[in-house]
Amino acid sequence: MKDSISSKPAAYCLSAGFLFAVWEAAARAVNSPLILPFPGEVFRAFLLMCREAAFWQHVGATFVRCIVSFAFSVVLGTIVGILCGVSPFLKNFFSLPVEIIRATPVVSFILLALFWFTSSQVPVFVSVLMTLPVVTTATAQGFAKKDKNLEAMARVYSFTKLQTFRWITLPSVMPFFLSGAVSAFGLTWKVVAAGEVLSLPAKGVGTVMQTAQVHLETADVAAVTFVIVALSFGLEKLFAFIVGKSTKRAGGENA
Amino acid sequence: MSGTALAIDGLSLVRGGKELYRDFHLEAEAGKVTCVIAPSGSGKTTLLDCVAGIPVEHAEVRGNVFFEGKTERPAVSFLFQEPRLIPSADILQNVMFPLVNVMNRERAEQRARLFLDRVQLSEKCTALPDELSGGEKQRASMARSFAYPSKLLLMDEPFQSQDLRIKLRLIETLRQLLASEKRTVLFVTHDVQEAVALSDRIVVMDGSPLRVVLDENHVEKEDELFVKRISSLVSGGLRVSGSLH
Repeated sequence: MKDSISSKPAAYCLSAGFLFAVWEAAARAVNSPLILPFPGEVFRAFLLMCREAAFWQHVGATFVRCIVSFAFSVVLGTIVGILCGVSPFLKNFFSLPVEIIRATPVVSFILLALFWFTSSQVPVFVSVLMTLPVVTTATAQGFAKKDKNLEAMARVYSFTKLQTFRWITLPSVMPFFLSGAVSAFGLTWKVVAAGEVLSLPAKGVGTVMQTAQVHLETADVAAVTFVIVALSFGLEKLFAFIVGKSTKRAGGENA
Repeated sequence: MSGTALAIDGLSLVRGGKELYRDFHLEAEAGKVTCVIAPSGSGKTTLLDCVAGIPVEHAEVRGNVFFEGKTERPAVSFLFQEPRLIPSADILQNVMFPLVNVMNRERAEQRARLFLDRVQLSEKCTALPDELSGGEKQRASMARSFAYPSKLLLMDEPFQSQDLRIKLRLIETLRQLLASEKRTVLFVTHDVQEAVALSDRIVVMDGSPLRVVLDENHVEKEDELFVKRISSLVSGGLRVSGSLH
């Protein structure tokens, strides 16, 4: 009995139950669906949305933006991360822009990007900008943690550059890179949704949220938020699972 | 095999403000095991790094290393303090990696298997380094050192972290390999018994910068007085393990 309560799923279920209870209690205390709708109302709004094909088109558009921005972020972040890893000068060179991006509020980038890009491109641009430092830093960290003893061994035994990269550099960088990529993937959804709320593209969950907010449909705003959270959480876990599996398989193949 | 295989000529090395070597000279005779014995932390590993061409970080290095009279560095094997095996590659791959660049794959695999057999690891070819004991890892490293076709073998206290029983077995394996595969060996250690057990010549060094205090060409393996004499020459930091014979 003690084991089943202390297990992770049981703790998650209890935590979710607790949050819903707090939400229900707060909604009763406020007693104004405009300010804080009841969980039941939000669930009904969610079911209604799920029945509409148009809603899934919005979700699809956001999903495509997330994938495109994530792909850009991974490619650019890896290139910059490798450059930072191989050259101390480039590491210092890139550290300033990376720190500026980190310190700048997302909303500033969104508002600036609205001058430069179309409403559909803004969420992608901002998401790439916000997740780039995560991938870059993770990749550069992997390079910094390379085993210097193994590198010396490779040098003595005249390993080729390819052998050194494949067997010494890559295994050192990969765990850092993948961890950074998983974090960036989770962040992508939040930033893309925020970008859509302010840029209002024709399709996107952010647009749905903004429209619902303008029409004072608080339950709809909460329902879309729930969808974003579920998709972000679910896809991040799925991505982490795939990454974990492929890393294990790569280890097995090496053996 | 005779004559000078390795000559360190006028090595001066300052690292972190500490002068480790000043105009240091050492020659190693071909086919013989030359042991440099000095206290811990005095710069023995750095000496081997200079010979192997491994950059010494934050150091100012001057001098030359000649290999059979030439400055061009030939293939060199190195038996490090730690086995330094690639964790994601199996034992056979670890031994083969240096070989595939100097011979075709089939010959490389044959040679790797031969030397893994000589160090009694033929059953562990497909094992990952993490699945091996400390002694087995060091034997795999030994197989790599001997399978690699080099004339010069550098050894940096390869038995340091092993207990006496494993150390004895490793030394025996190393002796057998050296008997069948003649190499010029430059061996550094701070363990007098290890030095006596393996070497043809012992060079004892002490001080800062390091200077030679004894250069003995005829090492008597069973001479306890000799071991005591070496130990008394060095100001501190030398180790005398149990008898290794």
